[in-house]
Amino acid sequence: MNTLVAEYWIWLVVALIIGLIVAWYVFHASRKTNVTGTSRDVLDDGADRAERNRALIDSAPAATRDPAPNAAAEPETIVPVAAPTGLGGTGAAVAAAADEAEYTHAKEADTPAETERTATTTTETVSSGVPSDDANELTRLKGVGPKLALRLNELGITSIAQIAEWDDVDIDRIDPELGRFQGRIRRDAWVEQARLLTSGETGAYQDKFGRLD
Amino acid sequence: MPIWFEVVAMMLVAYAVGLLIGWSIWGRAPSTEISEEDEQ
Repeated sequence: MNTLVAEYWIWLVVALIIGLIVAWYVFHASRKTNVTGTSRDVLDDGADRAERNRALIDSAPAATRDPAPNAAAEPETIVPVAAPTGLGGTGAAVAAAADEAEYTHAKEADTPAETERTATTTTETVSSGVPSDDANELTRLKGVGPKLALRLNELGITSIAQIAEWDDVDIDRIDPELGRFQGRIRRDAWVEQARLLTSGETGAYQDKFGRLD
Repeated sequence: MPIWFEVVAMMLVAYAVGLLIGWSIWGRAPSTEISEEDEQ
């Protein structure tokens, strides 16, 4: 045996090297996920635990579902179902109807009479006790939906007549308060719309802004 | 047992040892480092 090894050791070394080369190719070179580089992510295994936890905390929250509103909780902000102009407000109307249906379903066990409530009753209340009629009036303006009307209500604007009296100073004062709706006042010509509506010039209004619902 | 048979057997053993060494080096713990170049 020893004489064989001593005599043929070169062949054994060659076989060993061939085995190493084959192993290198199989386990390293031919991998689809050939991973190289030095950058690390905080979420990698072995990353600093505090850093990893911090990253998880700071990450965007997973989608959560609001619990069903109940009578004991604070009044839920329900988008009033204004008379939709075209497709405007349809999404809000559907959302409000869904909320109301869920609310009705949640209360079903306690008060069966509540089951008779339908989605059409969502116009009864809005947040902050603002009557829905006011919001509805503002939504007569083209480009003003239920959410925007609510925002205007919060700013103390509850009627089209108020908008009709705006001048540039008022617009410049109100516009920055509208958040993502900023710029809508001039773009959609609210003041002109309001003036035509308050003066009863529905014909001129419809000629310029389209059919009045 | 012919001598060539013993030589071949020893070469196979050496080959297997080479595979084992290679596996222990490259096959056991894949790197967690990710190549940014490949992702681009």
